[in-house]
Amino acid sequence: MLSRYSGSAVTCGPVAPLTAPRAVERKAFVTLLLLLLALMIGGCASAPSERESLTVFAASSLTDSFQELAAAYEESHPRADIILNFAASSQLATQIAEGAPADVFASAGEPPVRSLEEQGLVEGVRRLATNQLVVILPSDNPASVEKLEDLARPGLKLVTTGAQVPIGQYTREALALMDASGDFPAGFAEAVLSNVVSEETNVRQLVTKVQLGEADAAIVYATDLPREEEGPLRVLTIPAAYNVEAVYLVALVVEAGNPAEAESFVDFARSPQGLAILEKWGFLPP
Amino acid sequence: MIRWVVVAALVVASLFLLLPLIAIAWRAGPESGAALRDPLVGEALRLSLATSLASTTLAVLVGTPLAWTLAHVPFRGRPLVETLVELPIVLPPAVAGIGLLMAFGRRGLIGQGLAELGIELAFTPVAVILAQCFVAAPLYIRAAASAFRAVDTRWTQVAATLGASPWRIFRQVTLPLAGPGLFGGAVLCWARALGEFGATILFAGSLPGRTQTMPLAIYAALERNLSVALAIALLLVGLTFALLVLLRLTTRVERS
Repeated sequence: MLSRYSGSAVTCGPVAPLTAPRAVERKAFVTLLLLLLALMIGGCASAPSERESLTVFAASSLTDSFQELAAAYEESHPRADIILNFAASSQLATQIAEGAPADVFASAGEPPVRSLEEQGLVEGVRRLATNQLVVILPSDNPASVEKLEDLARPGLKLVTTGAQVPIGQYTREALALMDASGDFPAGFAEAVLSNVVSEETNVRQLVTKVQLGEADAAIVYATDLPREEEGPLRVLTIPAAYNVEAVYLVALVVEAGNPAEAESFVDFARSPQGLAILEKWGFLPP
Repeated sequence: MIRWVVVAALVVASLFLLLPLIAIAWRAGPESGAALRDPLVGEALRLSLATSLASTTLAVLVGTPLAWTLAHVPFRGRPLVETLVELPIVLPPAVAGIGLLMAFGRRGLIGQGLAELGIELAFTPVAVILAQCFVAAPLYIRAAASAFRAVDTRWTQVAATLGASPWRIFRQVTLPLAGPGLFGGAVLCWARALGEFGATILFAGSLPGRTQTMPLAIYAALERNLSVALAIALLLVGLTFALLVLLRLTTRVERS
């Protein structure tokens, strides 16, 4: 049998016994442990702040508009400190259902809010804004998409989200409208959906994939077009006949840590000043 | 006194590590059976197994010569190469994903040239294998180099004096001696490839049946159907646990 030890000194005899740690070392170790524990506990207990913190969960497509809304609100309410969390509305709904600390929930679609409402987790659901869909293409248009029909061309790389994310649901609704209209070849929606190469997590990631040139096309909200500095994208409008009205709803979380402030923020968002900010970012009136 | 502090620390640490796993099982409950029959689960399982096996095989094929070189061939810059090889182990997977995209994406450094040849890697199972390989291969290479280093050179020298060719020495002396270490490294590589998420979702995207491995399927199912997500999670826990047990057994064989 081959030995696994190297040729030089093989230790065979009994190993020297470990010496017990000296009293000084032991004391130092215990002190360090207690200090660490104290630090952890101290860190957890947050110092009482003079500012009122408000947590707002909002759909990814509301990123720019809500950042401006929050800044404007904080200006007129100096004691307010708004914490924003942007993600797909369906993901936010799951987080709220699992107990995430939110005061306000702004969703890009009805299903996430209604499911929370049914569970008694949100209340005071009101319309905030509406939006439309649009097709975006990389600036160099690698798949030479000129009209909507081209989206069904085999080999085209389309990205969308899962059907539970509002934009994914609206996309499938719009495709169904195109199918039903009779203006498109038979099986159009199915052909387009078979061109999906990836189901991303939220609408902003669709924009990113198109900007990177990885995807040939994506259907996003009209408000998701990047600013000029971020690099231009080609846009294909979807005529009103096949477009869907994306309804944005805002609701108050029942177990909010700050219900009064939450109500105040929602009122601000739906005030003429708030709606003007939303309009500035391309949203349509509720 | 000190013994109790140590015991307490051990209990707290074990609970902390075990609690998430226990919680998954507790929450998944009896509905897991039905949830496992969701088509998403089967597709994710098949894809995960196929891609992780492919990336592990690739890692072993390419990594073994590299590991042997790192172990036995002194060359200038070897420490640098060793560090580079170990980098993906500590690199955040999201960074790996962005890097792969920038390198092999359609407008990427290498990807541009590939695209002109008609080869587009993103959104394909090949991209999944690439991402898994990038993050998992270093684990194999590190273990393999260590195993090769542990092989007693006396035996290879004896074989050489008996007239064996270098390839025969490698095949009949080095490989059997380093075998358990290599196998353990491969198992670790496989486990890491199975669990890869960040680089995969960024580079390969997520599409059921094509690129949606089990970790990606959990993420997708989370918003759709929690019980399916929990079922896949349980499956993954079971698989990785089995792999680690396998690793333990081979280590024990190695010591005998």
